[in-house]
Amino acid sequence: MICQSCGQREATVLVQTVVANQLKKTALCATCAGELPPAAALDALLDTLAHLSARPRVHPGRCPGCRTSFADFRESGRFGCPGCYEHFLPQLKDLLPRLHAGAYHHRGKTPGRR
Amino acid sequence: MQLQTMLRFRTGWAEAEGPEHAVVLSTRVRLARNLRAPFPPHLTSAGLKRVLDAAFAAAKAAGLKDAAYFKLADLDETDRAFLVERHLASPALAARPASRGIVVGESESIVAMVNEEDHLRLASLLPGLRLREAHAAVDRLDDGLAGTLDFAFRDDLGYLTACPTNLGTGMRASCLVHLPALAATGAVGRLVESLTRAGLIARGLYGEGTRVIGDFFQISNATGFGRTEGEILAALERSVAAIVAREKDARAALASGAARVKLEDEIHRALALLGAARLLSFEEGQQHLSRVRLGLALGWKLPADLSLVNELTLTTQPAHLDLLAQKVLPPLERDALRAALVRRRLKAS
Repeated sequence: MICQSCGQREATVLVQTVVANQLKKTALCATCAGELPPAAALDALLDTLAHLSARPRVHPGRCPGCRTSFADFRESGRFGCPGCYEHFLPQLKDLLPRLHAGAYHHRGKTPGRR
Repeated sequence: MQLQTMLRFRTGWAEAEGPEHAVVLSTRVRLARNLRAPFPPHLTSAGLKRVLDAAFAAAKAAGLKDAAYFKLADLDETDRAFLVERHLASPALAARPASRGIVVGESESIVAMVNEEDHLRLASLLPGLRLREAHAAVDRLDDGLAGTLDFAFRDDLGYLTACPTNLGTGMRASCLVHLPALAATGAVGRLVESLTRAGLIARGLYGEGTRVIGDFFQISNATGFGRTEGEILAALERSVAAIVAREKDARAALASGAARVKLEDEIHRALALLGAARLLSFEEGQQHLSRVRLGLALGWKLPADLSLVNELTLTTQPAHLDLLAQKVLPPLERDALRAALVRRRLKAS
């Protein structure tokens, strides 16, 4: 089957999406599939972000390190730099337990410690 | 097309070995790591290049001296697609090759992707169900790299990643399982639902948001935050072991009583078609190889073995065939080459 996006390469991936309550299947080559945002975990994140109140109580402004705004993050699900975590920590405190099955603190490996 | 030499080597993770390899094709454990710098999508091209150079130098210092170092911009589209088919690069990495790179260790069992969504995505790939072993290997690489690189980390949040779904341990552990019997009985849909409720993700062979042709599913932990690596691996191992048991039960049911002759017919038809076809599409090849793999996993005497089926599942992908032909093949020629390769390999066995 030929990729339904570029119409050139052989399709190796069948992507399923729900559009207007209809299951839509699209056969894509690996290159075109790479252009898609990763699904699953990211979908869940974007869904959670969409349900956060539109206007935070205190406007967090932009990350001083990379100029990412909380609106940018809500749209893409990605931060711009490690400093974003520091800057958006108050907003994250609500978000993290929802993303990570109730967890709010790291456990596990710490660099240089066993 | 520079990667022809890799075609000649069997990739380690596709060998038919390791615990439960009749159901679990391979295990992969990856760690997301970042430097204290903007994440790749926010870096300038000079910044991306600095990260790539630093990562390659750190990998060499960490003992990956004999590894293969690839800058994706130096490779053509076929080479990059080959690396994706080989599970050494993600489709997202291949789609944006500028200042992106990968380091591939011996037997393709360890790999580091540079400048994907995170600065580093380290992964260990092994055949069979070997979560702890795979984690130990990638953990050693992580320690080695941390000797020269300063990773972004906070005590309360763990390793900091571009997407907060990867935060914490930065670990995603997964097993690639072959579930033809559960797929045939229609139980696979319910299984995926129950896995999601148990905090796991089930998805297709080629990565997120996809469905697999050939009954392969990747089962992985959904979150790596708030639990230790050991706890995450233990929970995943329990779930995968339960899936293996259910698949084996379903296989036994399909292979006994009145149902057996139906399965025998299906598997021998698949084998006959693979042994005779002059044109074989990717999807058709994968479907029939999946049937033959099921028969072999049941211990039936068939003129093939699991290693060969694993090998053909991998080498009959489009970019593997283009690389073999040393040119980008038109679809009809590729289907002909795929059919010829399968016939020849089956005959030799």
